[in-house]
Amino acid sequence: MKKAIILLTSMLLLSGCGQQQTEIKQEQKSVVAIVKAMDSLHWLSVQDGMEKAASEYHVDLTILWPESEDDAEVQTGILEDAISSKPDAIAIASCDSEGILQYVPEIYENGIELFYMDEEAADSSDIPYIGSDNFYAGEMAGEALAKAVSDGTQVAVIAGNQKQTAHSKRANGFRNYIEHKTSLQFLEIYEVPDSTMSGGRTAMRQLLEQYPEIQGVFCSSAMMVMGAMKECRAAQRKDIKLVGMDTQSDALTAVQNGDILAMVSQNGYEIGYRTIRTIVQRLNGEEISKTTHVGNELITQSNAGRFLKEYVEEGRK
Amino acid sequence: MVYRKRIVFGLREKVILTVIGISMLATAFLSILFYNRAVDIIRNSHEEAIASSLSVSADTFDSVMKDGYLACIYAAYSEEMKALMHRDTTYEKLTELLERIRESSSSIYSVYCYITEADIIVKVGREGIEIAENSPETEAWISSIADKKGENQFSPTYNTDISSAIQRTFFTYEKQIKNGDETLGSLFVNIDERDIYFKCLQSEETKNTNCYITKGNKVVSATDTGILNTALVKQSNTISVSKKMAMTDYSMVSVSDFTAITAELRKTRNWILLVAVLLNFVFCIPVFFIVRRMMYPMKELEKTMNQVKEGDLTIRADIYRHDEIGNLSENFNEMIEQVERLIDELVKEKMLKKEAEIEALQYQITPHFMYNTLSSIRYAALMQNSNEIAALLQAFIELLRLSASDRGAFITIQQEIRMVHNYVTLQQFRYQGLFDVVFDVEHKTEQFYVPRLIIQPLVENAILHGLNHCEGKNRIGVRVIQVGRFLAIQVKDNGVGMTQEEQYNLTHGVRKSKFSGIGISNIRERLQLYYGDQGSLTFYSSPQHGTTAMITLPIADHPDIYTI
Repeated sequence: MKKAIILLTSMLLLSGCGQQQTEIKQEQKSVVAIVKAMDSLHWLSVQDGMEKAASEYHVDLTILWPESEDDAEVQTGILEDAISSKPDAIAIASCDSEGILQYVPEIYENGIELFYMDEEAADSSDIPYIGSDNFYAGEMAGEALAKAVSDGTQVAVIAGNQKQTAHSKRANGFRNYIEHKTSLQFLEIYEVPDSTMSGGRTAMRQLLEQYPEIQGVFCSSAMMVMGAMKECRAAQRKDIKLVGMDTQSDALTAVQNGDILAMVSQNGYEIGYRTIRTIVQRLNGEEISKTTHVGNELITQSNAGRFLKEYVEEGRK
Repeated sequence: MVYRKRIVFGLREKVILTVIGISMLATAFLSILFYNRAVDIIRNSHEEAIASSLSVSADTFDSVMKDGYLACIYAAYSEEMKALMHRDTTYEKLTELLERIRESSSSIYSVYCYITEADIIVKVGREGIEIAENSPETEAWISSIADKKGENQFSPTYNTDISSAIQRTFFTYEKQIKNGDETLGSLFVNIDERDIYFKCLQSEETKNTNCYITKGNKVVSATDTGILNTALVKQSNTISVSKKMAMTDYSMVSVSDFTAITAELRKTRNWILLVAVLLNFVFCIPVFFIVRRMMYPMKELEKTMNQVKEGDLTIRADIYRHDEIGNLSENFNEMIEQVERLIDELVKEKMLKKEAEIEALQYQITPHFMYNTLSSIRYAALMQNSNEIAALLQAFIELLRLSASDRGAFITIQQEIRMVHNYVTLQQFRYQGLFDVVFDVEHKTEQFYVPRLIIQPLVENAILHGLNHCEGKNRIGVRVIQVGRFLAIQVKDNGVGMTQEEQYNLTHGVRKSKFSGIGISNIRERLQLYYGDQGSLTFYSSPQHGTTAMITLPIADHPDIYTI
């Protein structure tokens, strides 16, 4: 009985005055992602995908971007600062594929893993790339356009900043297909350095003035194709077949309405998500392949509805 | 020394105390177990909740800082800014631009721009526009912020704005404005610590939880501005959760007073314990009655036992139930019965002995005055020279004296034989020499003790019943010999003897009349009493061939050996 009382008392005392101090520190792998801009739905969905993956894989993610796609100077400034913050990895969608190369040694010296996303390297280094197979995407656009116009008609490209491999590869893929696989007449690659909608519209106006016979145009981003579409409508040239790139709801709606012939899909969400997943795999010491191609598909009037639906659902994830 | 009186608990009290004690223990154990479990659960869920809300706050902090950082870097690299980096009279365009930068994000408190060429600092903030010449304070402030080479450029510098009249605490981003390699000036984007507090921390704070933003161990944002720039004090019994920001070098820290969080729970635990104690006291009452009911047969048995102890052997315990107590009562009753039987037997034995002794006394021919009178008669006979009568009287007197004077139950063989001798002398006078008695007593047996009047009745028997009155000389032989540890006493006559029937009657104590055979059965009873199976009386007889009576008994050389 006495023992029981002592036991009981000691239990009460023990539970009563536990002087505890719990400390929890949360530290995760840090990743800085620098994208080209945040002015299009494409980049917003890339951001979405990255943030989703970051929360799934418990990664501290900081996404930064210059004001517009041609602000290579600001982007390199951000990159310099990113290096100074010494994250575990940097993923970059470079505005200037050449300009970035000078920072690669410094990045590696600081023990930071470097990844290219959406925008391939301008050299043949073995820095991992996650994004579209842009040359193939250009070819896809060429094939779609060739089917829609009659032989011998004139076609052109409105491409984004040619310092960026994404745009130049798309343009060259398109040109390659048109020149070698079809009898169409290839006019020129018209460069819009900031890949904006207004840039696309200006380019279209120029092309229409210069080549009144033009029948088809491939724009290497959704923003530019939207600009081109506006110009065609304004110029009453509904006969011109437009092919764009990127999976973006406004452009998809235009495809559905028949204003745009086709879009080559580029799933921004998927690119963002896979970028983070690949980075996590590398940081965990897993083997990763040098290139991770996120599949491109052709979106036409017949299947635009499905893409649009998927796109909306993805946004809700 | 102080002696304390020890409280002695009865069985009932012990049972009650045990029941109550165990139930108390169980309740206490359960409540403590549940309390600890609940504390663990609360701690875990609290930690989880804090961690997730901290990451939300951390995200807010980072996004505010990101806005500031992007505003700063965009402006510093813009051509418009570069173009305005020179001496001016009003700096109207520059202040307009700085105002636009400031308004690009709601969290930016002020934007400062230092123009190297003019050595002037232009400040645009919520308080208004200030254009000031460079001063030592400004210089000190600028160098405190600009001097952070090699550090994380994403992380703003925490500082006190010593360059202004109102010294606010800022998180400041700084970028140099360059044209090629030429430095034109510096741009400072300031985010107020109070803004950060209200945006990131205030919503997280509760009565028991304080939130801080720290860098290293230093507090940089908190409710209490007094603790800014001091180390975070660790307290006991707290849960502290910290989250490192993704972009900047700051950490979000939440410190919860765990004692306060679990106070309610502790109150509940104590309440349960209190209720348990009260309930147990209440339960004491039914337990008391139940136990009393259960213990009733026990009490009854105890009462019966006490009565038995007092000497009442007739009482029996009641059997209520066939449980352990029932068995106990049953066994007790049996035991009492057995004791009673044994005592009865003992009493009966004592009574028998008394009776036998009384019978023996009755057999004695006692009163003193009788032989005194006889003595007088004997003297008269002597004086008249009637010697024969005197001798007879002498024998009679001696017989009487021996029977009366010696009080003990045992006498020596010698005395017994003498008595028989005197008796025979008297009887010979009566029967006028009809018989002879021959004594053959071993000398060594003379001092052995035998019960008084053990031989005399046999001789009397032989004279009364065995004499053959018709034929010549009757002989009676009395013989005493020692056989090992036994004494054999033989009284033999050559008289009429006994028929089978007579022998049977004699052996089995069937009396023909009130007085006949008393002596024989008396002898037998006494032998049985004193010696048990060791003493015996046997008759050997046949008609016309005399009777032999034989007593065997164990030797006793002291009168008390077989005395009861």
